[in-house]
Parts: sequence; C-alpha cells; structure tokens
Amino acid sequence: MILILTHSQDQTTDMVMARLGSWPVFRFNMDLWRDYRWSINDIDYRLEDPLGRVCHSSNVRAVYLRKLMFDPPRIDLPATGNEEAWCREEVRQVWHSIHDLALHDGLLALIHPSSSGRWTKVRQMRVAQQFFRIPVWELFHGKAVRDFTRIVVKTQGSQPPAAGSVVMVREVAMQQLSHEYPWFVQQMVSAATHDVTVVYVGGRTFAFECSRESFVGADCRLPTAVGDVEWRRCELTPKEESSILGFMQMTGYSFGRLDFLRDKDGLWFLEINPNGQFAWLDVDGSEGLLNAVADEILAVYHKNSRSVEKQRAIA
Amino acid sequence: MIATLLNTLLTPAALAELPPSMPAIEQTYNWSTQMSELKPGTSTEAFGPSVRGTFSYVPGGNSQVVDDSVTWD
Repeated sequence: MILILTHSQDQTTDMVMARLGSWPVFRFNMDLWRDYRWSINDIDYRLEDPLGRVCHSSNVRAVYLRKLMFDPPRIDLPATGNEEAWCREEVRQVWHSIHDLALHDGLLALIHPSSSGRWTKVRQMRVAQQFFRIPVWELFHGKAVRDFTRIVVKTQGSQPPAAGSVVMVREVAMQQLSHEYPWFVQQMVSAATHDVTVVYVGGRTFAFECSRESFVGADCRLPTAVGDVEWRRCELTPKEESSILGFMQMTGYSFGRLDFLRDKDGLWFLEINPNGQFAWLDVDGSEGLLNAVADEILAVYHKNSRSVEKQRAIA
Repeated sequence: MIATLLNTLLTPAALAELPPSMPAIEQTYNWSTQMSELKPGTSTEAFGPSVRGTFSYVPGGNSQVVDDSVTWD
C-alpha cells in the first residue's frame, strides 16, 4: 500500500494518484482527521477511513508526503490556548510520528528531509552562489549594512500578517522600511524578462517559464494563482542543468522546485521549495512531470515490496 | 505610536488582498475515490471567503495564496 499524507483539498495529490495505476493507495487527509480512526502502538499502526478502508503499517511500502494542512489552516489562538489547537497539535504529532517511522524504515518516496539539516532561505542563497548568480540580499533589523539601489521586500516564511492577506514580493524604497520590523530585502533584478521555475524529480529537471510582461508587479504567485499568466516549458542550457544538479546534490533532496529569474545573461537563483507545488505546471500530464513523480513513488513501493517478499521467502 | 506592518509599507498594495471578485468554489471530498471534487459556487457569500486559483484553494481565506515554503513538511 502507498500511504499519502496530505489534506483533502490538495489537487496535486489527486493528479498524482490518478497516475499511480491500480496500486493500492490510502489517503490520510489531516484536515478530515475527525473522520478517521487510528491506533499506534509499540509494534504497529492502523489507520481506518469512514468507508472501512484500512492502512496497516505491515502493508505500507511507500509513504508520499504532501501538505499537512487543517481547515481552516490557521485559527486564532488565545494565550490560554483552546481545545481545537490542542487537538491539532496532537494530530500533528501523529502525522509526524507516521512520517518519522517511514523515514526510519526507508519508506519515504521522493519527499524527504535533507540528511544535512535544514535548508533555510539564507542557507540556500549562501550555498547556491557556488552555482548561480544571486541578487544581493540582506536580512536586517535596524539599518541595512549594504547599500542597495532598487530593492524588493521578501519574507522568509509564509505567515500572513493579517486575515486574508499575504506579503508579496514588491519593490519598495529603503527609507520606507520602519526600524520596528525585521526585514528581508533583495536587489531588484530590473532586467529580468522571465520567471523560471524548475521542478527537480529524482535527477530529472522540468523547466517552465512565464514572461514578466504578462503580469504587473514583482511577484508572479498571485497572477499564477488566479490563472492570469501562462507557464510554458522551456529549455535549460547544459551549464544551467549542471548547476541545478550540483546544487541539488549539495542539498541532498530528491525533489524540489527551484525558482529563478532570467535576464539576457541567464538565471538568477531565488529559492528552492523542497516540497513545493508543481501539478499546476502540467495539468494534463503532457509534459511528463506527473508521471515522473508517480514513477518515483512506485519505485519505492516496488523496491520495498520486493524486499518484504525476499524476507518472507527467507523466513 | 508603533507603526503597523501595513502602514510601514505605506500602501496596502504591499499586502496582496485576494481579489473579491474571484469565483467561490465549493470543494468536497469523495471518500470512495479518495479524490477532491470541485463545484462552482453561486456566490462568495454562499461558501464563505474561499478563494481558489489553479492550485491555491484557500479555505477560510486566511491562508497563503500558494502554499510553497522552505519547509519540507
């Protein structure tokens, strides 16, 4: 059985599952946790969905990690706590426990933590400069040490500062930034003509681009989310391909979606999302991206299935 | 007075308010197929402030637009 840890509204999971053929899948949606029954003890674990579909740890051959997300994703939390937050934390630990067991047992497919620790954006940009051009950046509180000309404000995390809002990448003047806040600024790549995103799947790359003339502002995420921009498959130069492979080897990840800007001289590295979204780049599957992900999951599934059969034969 | 994040950036455009005109989507889950199912909503009021782009369903409207992050979980 392939166990997918995700949430019920994750269409990426839908699209990957559609390419897993008839192999058995158990989807564990954390936002619907109240509908599941589970038991985890010192020997095994058992998950059951409302239809009586059962996932027993003895049958799990691959675990594919998507997104832990509750509905609503965030709740107001009083200083004294509340029951919903308590439940969520307990459920979150269940989810992490199953995931940790899968890591321990070699069952994680494609998405796994790096053996070399966390890859924060700072570490990413520090290391990536061995392979790519990086727009000058600085995190600061108080006054920036570097002298910038044109800058954009970015964020390290994804916490919304207010209900219904997110901080998007946008150009600001340095004097606009209050000393009251921690800032992450980066030199604006004014000459960039395209956003480029590259999905790395087990050593293969799938590169896509969108023209920056097709949207207003510095951040392509919102126009992408509302479908206002078109992402097209694009080619990488052999050097770019080699740089991506080299960088990914350093991170230790088997999967990632790397974001770049491109100007006439090539790529500027922005960041890597180790479990980023990708299905929106290949909705009909014609680019082979969905199949590549499914193949990686099935490879782990089959490898562990053979291993279990071998152990049983020996016994 | 301590400035808020909003007025520090001087313009509300710094915070990308999700377009109010985006169609509401009612998204349900089919336990039999283990797949999500989408149905267009009749109004944003009918299903709350949910917003959905290509792969950016935002339950309750207070999540990030695209759930990419540097965390792997």
